[in-house]
Amino acid sequence: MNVENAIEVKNLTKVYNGFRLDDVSFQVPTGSVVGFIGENGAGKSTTIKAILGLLPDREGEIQVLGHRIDNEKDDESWKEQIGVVFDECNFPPELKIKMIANVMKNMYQTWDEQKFTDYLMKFELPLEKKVKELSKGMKMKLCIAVALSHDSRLLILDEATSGLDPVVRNEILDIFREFVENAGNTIFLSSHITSDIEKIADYIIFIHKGKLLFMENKDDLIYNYALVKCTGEQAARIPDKIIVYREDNSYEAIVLVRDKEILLKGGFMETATQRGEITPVIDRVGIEDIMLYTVKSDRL
Amino acid sequence: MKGLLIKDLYTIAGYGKQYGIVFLFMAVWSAVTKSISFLTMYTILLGGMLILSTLSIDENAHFNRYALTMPVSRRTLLIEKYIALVLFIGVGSLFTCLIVGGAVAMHLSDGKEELVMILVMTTFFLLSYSITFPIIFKYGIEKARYIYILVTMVMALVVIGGASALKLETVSESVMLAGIPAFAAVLALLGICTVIDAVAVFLSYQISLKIVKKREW
Repeated sequence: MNVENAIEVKNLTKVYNGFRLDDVSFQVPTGSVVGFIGENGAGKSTTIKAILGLLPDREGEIQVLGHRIDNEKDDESWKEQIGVVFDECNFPPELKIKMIANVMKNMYQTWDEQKFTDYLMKFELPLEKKVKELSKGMKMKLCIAVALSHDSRLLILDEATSGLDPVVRNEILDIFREFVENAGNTIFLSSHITSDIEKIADYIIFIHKGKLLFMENKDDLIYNYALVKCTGEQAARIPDKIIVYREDNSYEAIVLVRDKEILLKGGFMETATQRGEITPVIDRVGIEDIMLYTVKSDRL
Repeated sequence: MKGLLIKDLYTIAGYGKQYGIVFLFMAVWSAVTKSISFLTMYTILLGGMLILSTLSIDENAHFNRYALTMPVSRRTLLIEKYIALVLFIGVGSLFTCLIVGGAVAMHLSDGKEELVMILVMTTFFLLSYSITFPIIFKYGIEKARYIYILVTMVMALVVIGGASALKLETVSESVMLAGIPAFAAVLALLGICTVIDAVAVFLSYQISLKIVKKREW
C-alpha cells in the first residue's frame, strides 16, 4: 500500500493527573526519518504509545500506514509492517536467542529467518546466549534485528539508543540509514541524544510539556536558527517576532533567533559596524541548543 | 497466539531445574511419609504456579507492551494466558494421575481417594486462578499475589469448614454419600467439576477482557 504519510496524528489529546498531551497533530512522510525530541516528561513516549495503539481512552485520530488506530477492533495484521524498539529489551531473560527466533517465526507471518540470522552474524550475537547474558548494547541490537527481520516498512524507536556507547550507537545509525535507503521505508525515532537525530533525521518534531512546538525540516532548522552574541543595546534591535530566547549577563546578551535571514537582511550587522560597536557574533546552532533555549524561554 | 504459548513454554523450561528440585523433594517426602496426597496436591498446584511465574516474568520485562506492537491483539494476549492456565493445570493433573497410577500399581493405594482429590484440587485451583486473573490484569502480579493467597485461603477454609460441618474425614466421603456407587459418583463429580471450571474460566475471561481493553500498557 502506497500512502503519503506513514503516520498521521490529528488532535491527539490525553489527560493524566498533572499532565496533558494537548491537541498534538503531525505527519511523518513516507520515506523519511523523523526525529521526535523533547525533554523528559514532555510527552514523547505517550505519543508513541498512542501511535502503537497502547493508549485507550485518548482523543484524536491516528493513522499508521493507512490503517486507522482503533482500540475496539481486533485487526492487527497491519503490525506485520511495523518494527518497534523500546528503550529496553522486553524479552524474558531466560530465553535464548534461538528461542526468540522460534517465537518470532510464530508471531509474524512475514518473518524472515535468513534475514534474522544475517543480522545476528552482523551484530555478533550468538544463538545460544540467553537474553540476561547480553550487554545492554547487545540487547538493543537483538531488538533491532527482530524489528528488521519481517516485512517492516516503518520503524518506531522510543529512546532505542539511550544508554549505548558512541560506537554502538554509530553502528545502529548506519543500519537505520540502510533501512531508509529502501524507498518507502520510514523511521520515527524519539531520542534525548540530539546528535543522533542530527545525523540521521530529515525532519524534527519538538514536543514540550505536552504541546507540539514545531515540525521542521532539519536542514532548514539548522540553517535558519542562529545564536546571536551581542551587547544588550544590539539585542534590543533584534525584531521580537524572531526572538525565541534572550539571556543577558554582565558582558553580553545571548539571543536565539528563529530566522537569521530576517536579521541579516534587516542590516543588523551593518548597523553595528556603522555605529562603531563591537561586532556581534552569529553562530550556527545545533538541535540541542534549539531545544535547550526553547525550553528555557518557556520557563520564563 | 502460537508464538505467545511457545514463549511461555520456553520461559518455564528455563526455570525447570528449580521446580524439578522442589518436586523431587516433595516426592521423597511422600515416600518417607508413605502418603501421596501431598504430592498429588503439590503437582497440580505447581501447574498453577507456573502460569503465575510467566505472568510475573512478562510483567517485569514489560513483554506484553512489546507483544502488542506485533500482530497480536489484546484479546489474543488474554486468550493465550487462559489457554496456558488450563494447559498447565491440566498437565499437572494428568501427571498426578500418572503418579497415582504408579502408586496403585505398587499397591500403595487403591487410588479412589486420590482420584477424587485430583478432580477437586483441579477445580479448586482453576477456580482460585479464575478469581485472581482479572485482579492480576488490573493491578499487576505483585499486588494480585496477596489477593491470590487470600482467595485460596478463604476457599480452603470454606471447603475444610464444610467438610468438618458434615463430619467428613476424607475427600471421597464428601462425594460418595448415601451409597452412591463409586464409579457413578466419580463421573458425576467429573461432570460437576467440568461445568464449574468452564463457567469460572469463561466468566473470568469476560471480566479480564473488559479490563485489558481499557488498560494502558
